[in-house]
Amino acid sequence: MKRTYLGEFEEVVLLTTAVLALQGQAYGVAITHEIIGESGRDVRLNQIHAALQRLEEKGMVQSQMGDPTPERGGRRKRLFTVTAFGQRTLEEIHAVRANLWSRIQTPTTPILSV
Amino acid sequence: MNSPTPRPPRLADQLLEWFVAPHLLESLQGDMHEEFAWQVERLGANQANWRYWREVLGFIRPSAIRLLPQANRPAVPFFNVDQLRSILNVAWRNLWRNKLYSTLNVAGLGMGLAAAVLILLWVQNELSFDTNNQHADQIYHVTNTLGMGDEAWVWDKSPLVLGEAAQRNVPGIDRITRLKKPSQGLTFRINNVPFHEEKAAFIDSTWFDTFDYQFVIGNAKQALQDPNSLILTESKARTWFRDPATAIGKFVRLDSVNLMVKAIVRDPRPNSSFQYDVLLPIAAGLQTADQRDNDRNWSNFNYELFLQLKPGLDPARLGPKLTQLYRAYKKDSTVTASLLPLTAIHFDTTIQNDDLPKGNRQTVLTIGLVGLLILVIASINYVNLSTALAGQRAKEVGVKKIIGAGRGSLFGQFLLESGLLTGLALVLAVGLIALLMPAFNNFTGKHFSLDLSNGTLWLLLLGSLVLTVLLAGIYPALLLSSLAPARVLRGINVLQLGNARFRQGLVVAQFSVAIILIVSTLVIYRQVQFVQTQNPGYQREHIFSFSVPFSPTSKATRSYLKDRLRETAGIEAVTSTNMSIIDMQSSHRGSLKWAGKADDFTPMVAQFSVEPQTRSVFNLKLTQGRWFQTDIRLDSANVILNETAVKSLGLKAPVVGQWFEFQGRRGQVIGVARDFHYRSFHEKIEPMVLFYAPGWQSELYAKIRPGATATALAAAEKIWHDRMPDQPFTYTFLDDSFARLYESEQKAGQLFSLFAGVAILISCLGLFGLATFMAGQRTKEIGIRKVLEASVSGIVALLSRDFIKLVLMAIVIASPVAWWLMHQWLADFAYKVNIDWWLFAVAGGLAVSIALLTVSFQSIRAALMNPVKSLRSE
Repeated sequence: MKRTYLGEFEEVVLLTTAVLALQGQAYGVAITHEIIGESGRDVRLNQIHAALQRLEEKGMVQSQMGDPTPERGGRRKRLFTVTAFGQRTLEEIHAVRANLWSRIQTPTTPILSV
Repeated sequence: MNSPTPRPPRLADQLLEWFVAPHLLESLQGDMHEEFAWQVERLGANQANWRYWREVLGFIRPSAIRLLPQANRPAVPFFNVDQLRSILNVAWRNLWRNKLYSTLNVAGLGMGLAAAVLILLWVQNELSFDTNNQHADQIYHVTNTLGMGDEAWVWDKSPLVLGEAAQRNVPGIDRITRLKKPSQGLTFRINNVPFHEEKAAFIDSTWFDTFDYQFVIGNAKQALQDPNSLILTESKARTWFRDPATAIGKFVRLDSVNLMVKAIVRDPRPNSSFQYDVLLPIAAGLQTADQRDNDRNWSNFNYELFLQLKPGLDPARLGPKLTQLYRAYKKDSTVTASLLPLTAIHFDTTIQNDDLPKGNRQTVLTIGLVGLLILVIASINYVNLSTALAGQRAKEVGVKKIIGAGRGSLFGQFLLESGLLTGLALVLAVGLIALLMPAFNNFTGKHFSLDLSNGTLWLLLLGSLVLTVLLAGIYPALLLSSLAPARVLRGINVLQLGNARFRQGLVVAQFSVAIILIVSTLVIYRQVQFVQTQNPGYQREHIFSFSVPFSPTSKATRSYLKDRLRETAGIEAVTSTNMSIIDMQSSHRGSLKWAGKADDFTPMVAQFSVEPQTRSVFNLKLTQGRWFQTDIRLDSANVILNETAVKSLGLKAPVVGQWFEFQGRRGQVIGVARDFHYRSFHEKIEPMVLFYAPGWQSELYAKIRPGATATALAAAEKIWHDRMPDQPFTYTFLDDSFARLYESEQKAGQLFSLFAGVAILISCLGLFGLATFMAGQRTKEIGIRKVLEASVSGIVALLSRDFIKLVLMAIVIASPVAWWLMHQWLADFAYKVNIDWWLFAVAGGLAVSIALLTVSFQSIRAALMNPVKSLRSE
């Protein structure tokens, strides 16, 4: 079966989630700020939330409620982690891209000859 | 940095809590608050607030609003997606299975909706005249009155100087603004090509502050600064310069002055009283000393004056203050001023001869009512067909009820079904409206458009939709949801006789409306026919009329034109009078004296200033005496009376030769003219004095020899241009003007015949559906009858009889109502046709034969059916 379709934005969100999940800090605001910081694109919280929800429906991330914090008015965070399926999807995408890139970087006419 | 931590906007937060799904709320709101705190740090509280709002609104999306996961969702009928889908499915299948009935329903409702929306569009436009202006409720029009009671003369123009005097002396006025419409339009020249413009007006610099205009190019501030500026509407700019954008800065010549186009405004809305295409500053019309002297004068009432009052001021107190100004500036003035609210101008009937487009509230309401009636007729079709077909749905209702469906949810289902059907009909209606819009605009003389950004149009469309769903949907939904499941499933006939009675009642109602409309149409047509063909007592064929623009030399111009025209081949006679013979509004009282007049008797008489030639042009008849003659100098003091005058003034015989004093001149009665209708047939012929005053004339009439029309007109135009090369030659034929006198009646006739047609068509669609249903139900009965040797005609008669009975009942109900309504309408005419009995016979016969035709198609088909076929299936 063909792998579940992942949009470009969803992919970025999934990847960022994977990065932040390493420190256990993958939740809405953190992901938003990370993406703004890394790519400079203007994303908004509601877009991230919608993307995370779609990813959860597709089974690529899962979530649990974290600890309450004061700047959130005592509300808990929803912390996301990437599932094995999500991990594999990311790896597949990476592999496909790497493969394609490798074909550009080993051209018939050398880019740089010494 | 010790100020209290800013909190997210309260309202936005509440909104968020309200719509976000409960299981998502905590983490989502937490994220939002954290983000907010971060943004406050970064950009400050203001920016953060704004961003918070944006985020909240951004969350209004299905993924966030979505209710609890499936299992936890409470069972709310209507809002359950699956149930909704199932209902739509069933509804769709039903529509599909009964293709004929669905088509009839959609067609009927669609036509009804289209007609109703178009009518209501017009009605709404009439009722909302001038209400679109931002300050509409503060703006008042100054009107002036001379005289008292019934004979008061009310007009809408004031002296130019009253505006400034009011601004200076009367407290409570925020702003004054004035408008002057040149009585004969203005002739502009662009590159030396003349363009005559009737819809031109001079306005004050405050005009755009008082009334709302949308500027396409330029703005209200600079548009009127220069006295030599000009403002055009988009469509006028397009006709003059092709592209509005290039019109700016172009020069247009008026008399000897060059005006520059300074701004382009949107065309006035159809519900604005001020339909002007070319606007000029008042200063542009006051360039010469003559013009200034003429207008800066307390005796010349040339300007419409509008006052914008401070909010909460009682307008009734301002009238007397303006009247005081008249007294203060002009000692002998007897004029009284009063204020008319801007929004009341359109339906005002007190002002005589004003230039604004006027409406008649009675007519508007009548037509609106007819529009609603058409919607009701269309709804009746739906009610009838769906209750007739209720038998088909009975099993479905029974099963659903046994499974546990409540009455409420079934009611909802059937209401939703009618909503669906009406929605389809609305689509058809919008298509029909788009198709009919050009003809409709042509008929109403307005510029409506099917512009979907127009809120009013949407309001009308949705309003009619909701009204139709309520009218058409509620009864069938009630009936169907009330069926008792046990009886239905045991196969007992659940639809009682009462139900059929109700349906019959509705058919009677439909046809009553149709018959009333037919009778109205017939009466209106007969009356219009009557007034058009009745001999008014003067000749109106082969005569054209025109008038010379007012100027100090217009008297000389008039006699020049008359002399030249008299020499022209093809023109038989030429004359001039003070007013149009078709609609003579000039009247007088007070100066009349004659032998034997009682002192307290001061009758009102029409005054008609004529010439020796007038008689031959109009072919007026005398019953006694002689007409005015050029060679008798005393005739300028003599008068001719009409027959009514002789009677009502009480002159003793012999009338001819008696002394008579009129307008301060004493002469003799030299003749008696046979009565002629110098006003419309709405009004009785009043006493009239015909007199010979060469100075007191304005309209010119020329009678053409039959067959020489084209050459005579060409010659007349040439003569006109020899004298006035700049003025366009505009003329009207007398019989056209005469027909225009009854334009509104003619329109009413056309409108009613249209209404009647639509009503009949829709009623017949319903009748056809019902007949089809009945014939289907009685298939077996007809089969048995045929086996027992019933004739085809017998069966057709059997099937048609019930329907004809209904139509006959409708005739009985409709006739007195129609008689009463038309009696009211005709009461407005002094001379009118009788409402004859045969009108009702014709209308009834028409209704019966149309119904019979509709029904017979189905009944003949049923009667011709082979009984073997209809009886075999059991």
